[in-house]
Amino acid sequence: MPEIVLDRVSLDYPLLGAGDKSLRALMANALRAAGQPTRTRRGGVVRALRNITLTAGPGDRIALIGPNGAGKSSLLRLLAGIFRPSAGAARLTGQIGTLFDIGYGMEGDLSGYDFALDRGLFKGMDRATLLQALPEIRRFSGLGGFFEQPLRTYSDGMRVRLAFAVSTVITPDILLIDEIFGAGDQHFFEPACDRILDKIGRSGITVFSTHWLELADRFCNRAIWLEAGQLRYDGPVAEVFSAYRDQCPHA
Amino acid sequence: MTGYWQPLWRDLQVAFDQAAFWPHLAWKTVRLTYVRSLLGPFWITLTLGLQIGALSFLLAALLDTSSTLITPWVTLGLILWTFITSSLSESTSLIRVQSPYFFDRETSVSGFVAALLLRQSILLGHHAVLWLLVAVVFGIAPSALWLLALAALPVLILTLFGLCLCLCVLTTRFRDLQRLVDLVLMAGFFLTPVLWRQHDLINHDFIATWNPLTHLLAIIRAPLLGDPMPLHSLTISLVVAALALLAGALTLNTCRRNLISWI
Repeated sequence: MPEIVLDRVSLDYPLLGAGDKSLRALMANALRAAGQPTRTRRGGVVRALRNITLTAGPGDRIALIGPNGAGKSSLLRLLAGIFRPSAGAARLTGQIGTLFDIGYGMEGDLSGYDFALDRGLFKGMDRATLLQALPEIRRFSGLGGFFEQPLRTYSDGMRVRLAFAVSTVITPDILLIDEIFGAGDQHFFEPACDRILDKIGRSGITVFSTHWLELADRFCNRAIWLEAGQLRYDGPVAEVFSAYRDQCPHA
Repeated sequence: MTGYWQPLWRDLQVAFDQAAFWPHLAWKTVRLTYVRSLLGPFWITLTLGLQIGALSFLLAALLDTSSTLITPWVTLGLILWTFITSSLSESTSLIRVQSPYFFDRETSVSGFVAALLLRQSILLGHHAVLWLLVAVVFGIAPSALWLLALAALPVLILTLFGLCLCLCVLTTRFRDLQRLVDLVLMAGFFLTPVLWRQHDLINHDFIATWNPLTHLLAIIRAPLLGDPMPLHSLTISLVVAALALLAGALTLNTCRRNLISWI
């Protein structure tokens, strides 16, 4: 049974400026400490998430909304285990899958086939399963003969379809998606959502950050509104969205 | 497993989850250098070969010895030195170069370092062709001792694994360290018996004796040149490997939590 439990979770990023990055600055401070008051810039942090408590269980398809810089990506990366909470506790049960960055690892000289291997193995699949899934990846991405061609011949849309097809071959219990659908990919959104529903079924958890409320409306059954790193509203999609639209009429 | 070593343990666990990815990554990078190139990584081998030829010629003249003595020595020295420095210097930018992977899922630093060393070992295999060539030209017959050298290679690789772990983590936090490493490696080239031999240093052989790299090179180079395994160097190398691994483990364990936010 997949489950997400966040208990008063906060996340800080250290602010490392050019000065802080250097060893010289640290040593200079250490030397200075002997005689004079230090000038450390420690404690320079950005608090990306504050005191977030939430739980999610099987069947939850959560839309994560909020203005830019609200902490949506930070929350997703924390859920994925990339960042650890600076305070509080996060407990996730079940296998986690992510769809964050679509384009990385797409060296122009790799073929679609090579890329599928690269991404699939990185996502944690074993080679045999992946090789078996390749025809299905080829079919879903709709690349046809391009699948064997170098990626530099691909359009942006083809890249997204390929990366999506590979990344969704695994069937995680918890799927985390960070705004991978640009406005240009409307045609792809529908089959993509079907595929996510198909993969995760009704028993998994999907968390999905987006600015695109109409589509989130159709896909999700719960919404979380983040603002300045805090949880502003957590409830059924319609409720949260209408509150959000009242607050930010442009959305 | 919880407790002090939890972050390291977790990193290794994730590396194991992605076990199939690491060899793939190593081979992919090598394969990409073959794309639209006839020689691929052998271009580096060719460059190295030219270097060996020129330096052997020069050193034979300078030290007034025959090139039969100096060429095999220089060949092995430069091949191994290239392996050591490219591994260490690549590790100083490893996490930044691979950062998109680190932001896409929880992944493993030790896995990326393993892939780096596997790739460098594949390149070492390419460069080994030079040694075979030199062996043929100078009539050095393969012997059972060569297997001993092959068995000693993992000691060097494990040492590099520990050092690369340290460096890739620390350089993510302190970017200046990257320059410092390049500097030290440059100085190390002259202070390590890569080109010269320890007995060439009259009264100054402490430079070599106290240099761990001397011993790491010796345990591979001596058997290949038909000399017995220097047990003294082997002992030192094993201790150095253990210390390097410990340092790597401690560094990764201490910094793993904050590492991604340093990128």
